[in-house]
Amino acid sequence: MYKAMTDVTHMPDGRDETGVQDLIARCFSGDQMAYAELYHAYAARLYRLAYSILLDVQDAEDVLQEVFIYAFRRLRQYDPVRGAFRTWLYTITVSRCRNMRRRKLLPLVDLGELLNLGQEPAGPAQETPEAALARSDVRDALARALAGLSPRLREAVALRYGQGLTYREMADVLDCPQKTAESRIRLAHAALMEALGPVGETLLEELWGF
Amino acid sequence: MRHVDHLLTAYLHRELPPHLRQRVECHTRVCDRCHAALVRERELARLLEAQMPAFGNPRPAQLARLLPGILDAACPNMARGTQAERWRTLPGVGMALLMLVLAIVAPALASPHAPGMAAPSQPAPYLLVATATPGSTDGPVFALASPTAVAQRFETATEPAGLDPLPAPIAATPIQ
Repeated sequence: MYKAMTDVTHMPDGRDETGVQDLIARCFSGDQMAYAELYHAYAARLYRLAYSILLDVQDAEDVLQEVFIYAFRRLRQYDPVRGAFRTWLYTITVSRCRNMRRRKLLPLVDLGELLNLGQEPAGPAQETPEAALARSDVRDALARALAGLSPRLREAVALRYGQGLTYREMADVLDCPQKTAESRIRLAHAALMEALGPVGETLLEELWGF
Repeated sequence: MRHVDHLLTAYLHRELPPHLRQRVECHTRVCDRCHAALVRERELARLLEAQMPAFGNPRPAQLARLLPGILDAACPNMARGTQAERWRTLPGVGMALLMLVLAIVAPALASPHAPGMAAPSQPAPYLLVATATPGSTDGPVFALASPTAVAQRFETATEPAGLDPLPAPIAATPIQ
């Protein structure tokens, strides 16, 4: 189920939905480069979505592979009239993450791995060591708080803040009413504030103070 | 005075309809509790907006490593172009095979009653011939000679008068 984002949406490389349709048409004609371009356009954000929900590198990679294999094999089933291509991919990703959770219990999060994963978010060019430390502390605290959320609330946070979706778009991806998406975000906010607590407030003050 | 805690997150996300948005703004001006809650919500939203877009960023090499397996599984008919190349080279290979078959079969087809092709005749090996000169104290003289030369020698040789006939060759059979 995917309906949202029927307006012109943009791919990470700046290509709009028309560009996506062109790519898909090239895929239908057997152009392998088009498949690779589609992958490179969406892989990073789908990986981040999967990782934000599952909090495990291997699981996120497995889900990413499953999502693209599924999507490429069923590319003809994608209907642009029903929604944007990225919404379709998000829907598949969330579904695969839920399957993954069902297949295995969510592993205990190795916080060291969690926090050192991937590229560090770009910091200010002239960042002082104190500011870098504050940023690192904030990230650590946020990672702990996210790990304490229920999977459904983590999905909502990942879609809203990680992918920038509106409540309507979240509802379509999560296959739930818009009010439910809204309440999940509200509950996630409450849980995160409680998890971060006064430590989080101090960290935030430090972060914004630099 | 009804508090607006439940609306604050949606207010920050600009997801409220205008009348609810106005209600939140009016209420938080006069309610310290809801105003403080709004400040906390805003700080959290700023934190999440700053951190989440980069949370779990993959390395480019990590993504590149996964792509070949995905393409192999999802598009096996186009696996890295090898299949297409195979199809392109197939006519050439087929033509070569056809020509090879024709080269073998064509002579038989051209003269169906022709005798089978004999194996090429192999020249007989040279013979080791031993001759002995009467009266010589030396042993027999061994020499290599072609079979033709040996035959000619035996056919044309005339016995000198008073001499014993030439002894038979020691080895007159082809070497196996």
